[in-house]
Amino acid sequence: MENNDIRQTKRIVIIGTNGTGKTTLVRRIVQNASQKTLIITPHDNEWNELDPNGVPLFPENELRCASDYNFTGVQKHIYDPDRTLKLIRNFTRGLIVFDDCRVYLDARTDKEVHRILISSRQNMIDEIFVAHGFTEVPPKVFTFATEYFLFRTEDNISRRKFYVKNYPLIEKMQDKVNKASAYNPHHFEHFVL
Amino acid sequence: MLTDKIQSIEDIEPDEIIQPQENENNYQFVDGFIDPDDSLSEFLEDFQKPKEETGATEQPNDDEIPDEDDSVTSEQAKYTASFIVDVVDEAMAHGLALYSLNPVDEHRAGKEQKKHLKKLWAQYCKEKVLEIPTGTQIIIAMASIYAVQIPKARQDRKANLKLERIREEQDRLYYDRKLLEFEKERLYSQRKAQEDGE
Repeated sequence: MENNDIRQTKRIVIIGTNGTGKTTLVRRIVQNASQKTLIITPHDNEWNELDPNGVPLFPENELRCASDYNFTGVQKHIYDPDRTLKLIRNFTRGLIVFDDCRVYLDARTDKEVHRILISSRQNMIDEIFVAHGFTEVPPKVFTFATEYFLFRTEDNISRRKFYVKNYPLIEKMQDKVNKASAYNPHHFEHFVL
Repeated sequence: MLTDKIQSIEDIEPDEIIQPQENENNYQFVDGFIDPDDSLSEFLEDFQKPKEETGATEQPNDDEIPDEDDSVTSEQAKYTASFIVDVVDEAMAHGLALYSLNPVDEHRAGKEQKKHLKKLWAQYCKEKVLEIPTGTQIIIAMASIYAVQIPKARQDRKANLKLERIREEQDRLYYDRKLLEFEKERLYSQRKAQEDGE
């Protein structure tokens, strides 16, 4: 029996070239998420906004032990190549944003990413993968993705043809977005697979 | 803004032409999100719904977290201690056996003794932040396995060479004896023929 008040966990892919509005969109999603959120970013200088009292809107989380997950609201974590993916094994009941994931998710981290993806339902985690192009997202992510937000990108989806569920649909959507972006560079398409 | 749930490829018009919209020139993305059609609201509303309950624990067990700060963890210390004790035990047993000519096992430490040693070493490693790099461990382990056998191999080689010389000597003596027997037989036949002739 379907219960409309409960949803499945989501694995969202947000693709778009520089300046199209990915981060703005993620910020909006995060601010409305109503769940604890961990933003993993390789960039020190991002997600540093202050509220009117000078308090960081996204305080930094060092992720050293289990008690670091007992936060509420939104926290950012600067990616650490040796530890981050191992540590987020213990993250449950929240949202993880992999901001600019091309910098740190590659073939070496494939196994760990796969593990995170397959256990997202059991751990009750939503995941958002943000990247500039399709080839900057680990192929495994496309296998598990449930939703897409596509902004303009020149990086063609055909290079991920064998991994993407419903490839023709995404190809068509990318084409549509790229055409529309001629009039509005921040145009995006949202679709659920 | 086009934000829809699209279930299949048929949902998209093949020749759909995107036309510029009046309000799209007024986007303001850098300082604040403008969503004139409020097209995200459906997604955000859905996103706010509670997730399917699977009983995931909110506070994971601290033991599961790899403690990767600068100090040596208990597990690393135990491993290093175990490595040191095993290597030393192996080397000492072989060294003593070489000297005493007893079997190696007679010189190994007892189970309880090793356990006690490991505990002390683990404590020491943790206190002194002593951690042996994997490469060094491999070299030490290989040395402990093979290096202790070098003196024994040399002894065995000496013994084997001596044995070989003895065997050669045995063979030589055997052939000498056979030769003598043959000579003796020949002389005996010769003498018998002479006696018969007379």
